[in-house]
Amino acid sequence: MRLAATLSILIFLAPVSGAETIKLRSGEEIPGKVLSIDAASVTLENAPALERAAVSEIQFAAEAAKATAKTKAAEPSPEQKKAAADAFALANETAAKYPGMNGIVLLDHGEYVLKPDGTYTYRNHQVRQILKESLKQAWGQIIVCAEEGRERVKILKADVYSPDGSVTALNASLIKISKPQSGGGDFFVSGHICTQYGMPNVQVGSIVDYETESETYNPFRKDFFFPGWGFQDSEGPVRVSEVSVTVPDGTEFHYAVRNFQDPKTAEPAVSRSTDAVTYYWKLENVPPIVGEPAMPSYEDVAPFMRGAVFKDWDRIFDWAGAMHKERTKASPELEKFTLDLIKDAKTEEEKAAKIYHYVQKEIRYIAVKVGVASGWGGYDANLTWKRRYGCCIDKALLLTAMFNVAGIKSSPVFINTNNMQEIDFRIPQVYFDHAITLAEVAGKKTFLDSTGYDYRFPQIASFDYGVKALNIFGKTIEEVPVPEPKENGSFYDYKLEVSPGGAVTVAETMRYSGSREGGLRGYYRSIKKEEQKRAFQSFAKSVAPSAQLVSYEVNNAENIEEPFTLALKYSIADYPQKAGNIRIFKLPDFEIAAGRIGEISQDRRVYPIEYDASMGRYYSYEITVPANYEAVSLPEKISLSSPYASYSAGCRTAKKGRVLCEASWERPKRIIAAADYAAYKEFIEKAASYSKKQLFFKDTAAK
Amino acid sequence: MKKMIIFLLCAFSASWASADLLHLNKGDEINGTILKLDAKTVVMNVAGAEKTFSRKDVLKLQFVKEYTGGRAEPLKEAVVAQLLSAPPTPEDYPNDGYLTVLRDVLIDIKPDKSYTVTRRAVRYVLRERGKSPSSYLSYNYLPDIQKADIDYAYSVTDSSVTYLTDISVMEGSPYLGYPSYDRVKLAKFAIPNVQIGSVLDSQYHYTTVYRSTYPFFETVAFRFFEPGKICRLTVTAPNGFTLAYKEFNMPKDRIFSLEKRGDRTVYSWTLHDVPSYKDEPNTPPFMRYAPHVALSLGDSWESLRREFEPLVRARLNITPAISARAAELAAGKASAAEKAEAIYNWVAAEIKYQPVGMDEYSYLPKDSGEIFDARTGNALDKPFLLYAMLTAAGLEPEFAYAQSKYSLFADNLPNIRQFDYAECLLELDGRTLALAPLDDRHRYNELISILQGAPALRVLGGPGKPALLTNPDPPADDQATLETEDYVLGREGGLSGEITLRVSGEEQASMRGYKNYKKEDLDKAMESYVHSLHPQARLKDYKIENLPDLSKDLLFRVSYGVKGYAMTAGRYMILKLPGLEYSAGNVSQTERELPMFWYSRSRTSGTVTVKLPRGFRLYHVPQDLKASAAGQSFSASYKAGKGELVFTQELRRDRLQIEPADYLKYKSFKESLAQFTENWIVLEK
Repeated sequence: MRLAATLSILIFLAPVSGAETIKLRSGEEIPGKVLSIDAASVTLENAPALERAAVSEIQFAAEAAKATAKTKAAEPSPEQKKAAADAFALANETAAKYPGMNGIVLLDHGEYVLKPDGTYTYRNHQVRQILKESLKQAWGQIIVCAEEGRERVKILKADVYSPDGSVTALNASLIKISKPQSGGGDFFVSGHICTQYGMPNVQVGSIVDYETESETYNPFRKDFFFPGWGFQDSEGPVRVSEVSVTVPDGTEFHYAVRNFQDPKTAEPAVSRSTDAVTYYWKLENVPPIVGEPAMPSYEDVAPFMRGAVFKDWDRIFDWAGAMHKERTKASPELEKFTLDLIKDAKTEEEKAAKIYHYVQKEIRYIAVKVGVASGWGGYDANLTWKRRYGCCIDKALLLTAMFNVAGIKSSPVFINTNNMQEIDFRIPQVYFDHAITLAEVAGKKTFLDSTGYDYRFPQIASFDYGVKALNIFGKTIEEVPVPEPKENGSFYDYKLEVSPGGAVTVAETMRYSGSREGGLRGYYRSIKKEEQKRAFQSFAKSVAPSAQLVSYEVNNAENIEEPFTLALKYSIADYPQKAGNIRIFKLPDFEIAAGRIGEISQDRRVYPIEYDASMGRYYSYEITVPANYEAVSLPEKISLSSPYASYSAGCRTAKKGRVLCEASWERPKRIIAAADYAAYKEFIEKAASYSKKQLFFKDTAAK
Repeated sequence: MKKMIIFLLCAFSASWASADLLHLNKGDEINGTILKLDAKTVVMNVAGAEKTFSRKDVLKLQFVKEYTGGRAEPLKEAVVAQLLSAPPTPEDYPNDGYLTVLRDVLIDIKPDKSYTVTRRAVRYVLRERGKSPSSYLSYNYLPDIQKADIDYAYSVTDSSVTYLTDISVMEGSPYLGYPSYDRVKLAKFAIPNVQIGSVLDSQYHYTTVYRSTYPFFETVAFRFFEPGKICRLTVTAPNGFTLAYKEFNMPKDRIFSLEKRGDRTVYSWTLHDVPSYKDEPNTPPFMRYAPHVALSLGDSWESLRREFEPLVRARLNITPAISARAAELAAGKASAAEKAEAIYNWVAAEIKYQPVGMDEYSYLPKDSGEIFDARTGNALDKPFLLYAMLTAAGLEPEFAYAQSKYSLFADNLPNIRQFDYAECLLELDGRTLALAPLDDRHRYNELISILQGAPALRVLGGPGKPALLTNPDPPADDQATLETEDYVLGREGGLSGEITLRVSGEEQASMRGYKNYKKEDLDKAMESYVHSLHPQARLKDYKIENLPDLSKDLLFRVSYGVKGYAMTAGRYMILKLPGLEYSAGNVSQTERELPMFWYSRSRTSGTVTVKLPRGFRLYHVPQDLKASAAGQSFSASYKAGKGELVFTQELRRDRLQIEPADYLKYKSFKESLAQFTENWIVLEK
């Protein structure tokens, strides 16, 4: 029996260390040694030559995977059984303290080890109890991905402890290795391979205990090492979260921590061996994150550590700067094209606008990433221009190349958009999610984001506002400003005419500034003409069920150079609500409905509110009422203010038959501190309550 | 001279596009042409200059292929040349991002029943928003039984041809995270150099070897959200093959031909000048309204059942563990219904649902013992395990494949690939229950809406019964929301009270989703819920009974208060009832092209009682309303009692689809509801 089991062990795809992997277009992969390549063929050692057209790729650093035994799950050992019993004891104790959780993290353990040659390993050991069905998928599987030729991963252990005391050990035959596919047509990110394992027999109450190892055996820079660790979870409490970072003796290690409640735990325990230094952090009994609407990202609220083996950003600036400098040199063709593009522009601003609009509109957003150079360094601007597609960094490089031609100083800058975690600039790192451009236009620092298609110079998307930016050429850390409310505003002007019988015609114009203009332009550009009409019909219906659209205008949806505006007219047969001889009149779009202010729906908040942008909303209403309408009650003038926002509104009778109303709601800030939440909530609630007010008229002609 | 320019531009484009990629260990990616490699060096032509790299510095080499399909002069392709000589104008297509000038689908069935599908699309970009969708294409295939490849793809922009290269082609697994169902591959590509006015021409194909468990079945649609000039489907099959087909929603002017060419029979459908669809609210799933042809090779439902019955039965492995679990679950249960419910609830909750369709994995279930051990299953395997466990418990279930409401059923095409779900059927207390334990939110007697009234193929059990059946189709009363609200209105306009909800069917399943919230998150969700009723609402208390217990119906209670709920104007106090708001948003169009569709019937009824403040009398209440149209009805009335106001309402949806011809009646119905809730209640001091 034992012999049979031994013989049944299979070895699956196990490239030999040091050999190459030849990938064929048929999907086959051949391990071997490439002797030569010429125009027609690829010659391998001890194998027939391959037609060059049949080969898609040759991976040289092919230490992708070590031989892995394909075995059935082993019987659990006494040690595993004891580990299961200990885990359940700890889980039961923790569950009693934290009722109603989705799961419990019993152990969250990470280990980084940097070797003297610049390669490094990362081990991750998790012990987690699943308490709700919804967590079985997320916590009951392991997915670890690796960049081919640089990293390899191993699942070292994956035990499932069942509530009945049984243990299901790792069954390597169920491990599946796949190339991931990203959804949609915008992302083509290749070069990775993922090892997946769905742990069998995972039930509610099960404890999963697994350990993985990732080894970066061929880093693209041997002096880059950026460990990071978060110590909290949103599904349940964390009993122990710990991480250690070991670096060779003599290697600098710098770190920064955030959101630690106790300064003592923020400091690592440092231990030394003969040839290495280890930094170790440990937190115990960390309560779960409880989500709140519009809260900051995980890293901004959870205890978090980031580290690096150098302290300042110069190494990043030099590395990225060298790549970007090389890739922003315009070819003679691009230079000629650019000069032709701006030939009629008289000022530097006009030149910048021409180029900015061109790169936005004519270069399609597609992210093709095959490695670190295209990922971080982007493609050569000339290639992006020829392909007519590129991602954020590709478009930023092209913008800079063209600005160079126009004599406008600029640099690509890296940011994390404001819907992601804030970058902790105390420690260098490479985990940015977006690239934009900082240009000096007519002596003014101007941030431009050419990724979109709809932003009129110098507008940018709202997710860029208020974040810190790494200026690659300038070697500085900058901040993208948050615009004043009027610079990121919506301006609505209404004219309403009421007939003696209660029929109303409404004429409305809408104009916008800042990211609001670009965002709305993008929406109206992306829908069909007929759908635009339906959007206006729907808008009119939201004001009154019997509203009929008379006409509408969408101006400059496809013309990025000009302001985007909207206008519509609609009629409502019987608008004011009747109650006896009272006529109750609602101002269109005046009410701050609950759905628009979900961020203040909680009684208390622990975390700040993070908006994507500042806000300004400005309404004016000119209402012509018939002679038989006598104003009984109009919303009184109100002026509310808080440290973060202000609201003012009111109605008045201008002259007989004419009522004027207006409202202005401004929020210059993007972030509302949790400590100020109660006052801010009160402010919004007052404004929202006020906005429900109606205009009351007496119909003197009513019987 | 013009020709010369074109040649040079083409050559220039090609030199960029055909560049190989050399990746260095230090991260650099170098575009060029690999000239040679030997033991120590790699030589590459980079922008016209030879560069030599040390082999030890190289991470990988990518040989970049251009997808030319052997086309030497694409500009001479008839359809492309014609398009370039007389391009359409955006004004001709005011709604559209791009025009598909030719959509050509060719299906070639071989004598061994293997078949190849070739899809070609020639497109013209009309507007900016057409650039991305026109140039992005993708297809799925099962690599072990299908071979797929891109034949060619290129853009023509300003008379310059740019071919697709490997750089923007990617293939991978779309189901990462579901390792035991990771079989299908998704290939996608984006054609480069696309501008307004570009012509795009692409073709790909996939060949499927014959498997009785994955037989020939194709559906080809003819109309999409961008217009088509010529949409053509051609099917060739060996003479003597019975090609069965069914046309759905095909217009009368479609051109159909059937002819023999040698030993082949050629079927062809063509539509000209097909307009684009526009978004409308509440449209049915695409394949319920799009014109399409479904194709299969002839057979009968009975023979399909006979073919599948032994194959499926061979995977029915009632292991000791399954038997033991089934016995444990059935223990102490007196009736068959109780046993079935207990087993259904266990499968629903304990087997992780894997959202991988049968067409992307297999039409044969996995071994039931394997499903049980892995605790994972898709829409086929979860019901199959249920079948095994019900059988183990001594019940007599049937096992069937069902077709969801996402598409239309072709009853003349007996083919397993028409089905996308599976279910168990049980005769209990004189009625048939269809059990599909896909998630842990639907009760055993509340079939998920997409399978209500669905056609199904009985495969196991039910001897003597016909192969095809129709699932139970529950009435509105089984999909009900029953609401009771009791409030007290204060003299200052404050309102406080409690809402009690009893829900069934899809509403219950939806609300049971709260069981996945941890306690604190649920508290927050309830705060948000009352806030949605009024910005100043404050949650007092809430209780959701039986939330994790799938064997019991939910009961939801929430109490809250709102300061200054009613508005005052002089001696009047005005208010609307909380949450009473019907929108006419989905009937804002003056006419519709497509039907309106819902997945299930429904009934919402409720009573709201408001105790009025002392010193106030009712000055005005809205008039009662009774309305009905197109299988929908509504009634509501206000009744003044002693110091209180009682409102009752019932809204029923008894019909799932409203045809465009009935739209205006429905629109009027919805507008009357919305208008009704615009009205205010006025109290006078």
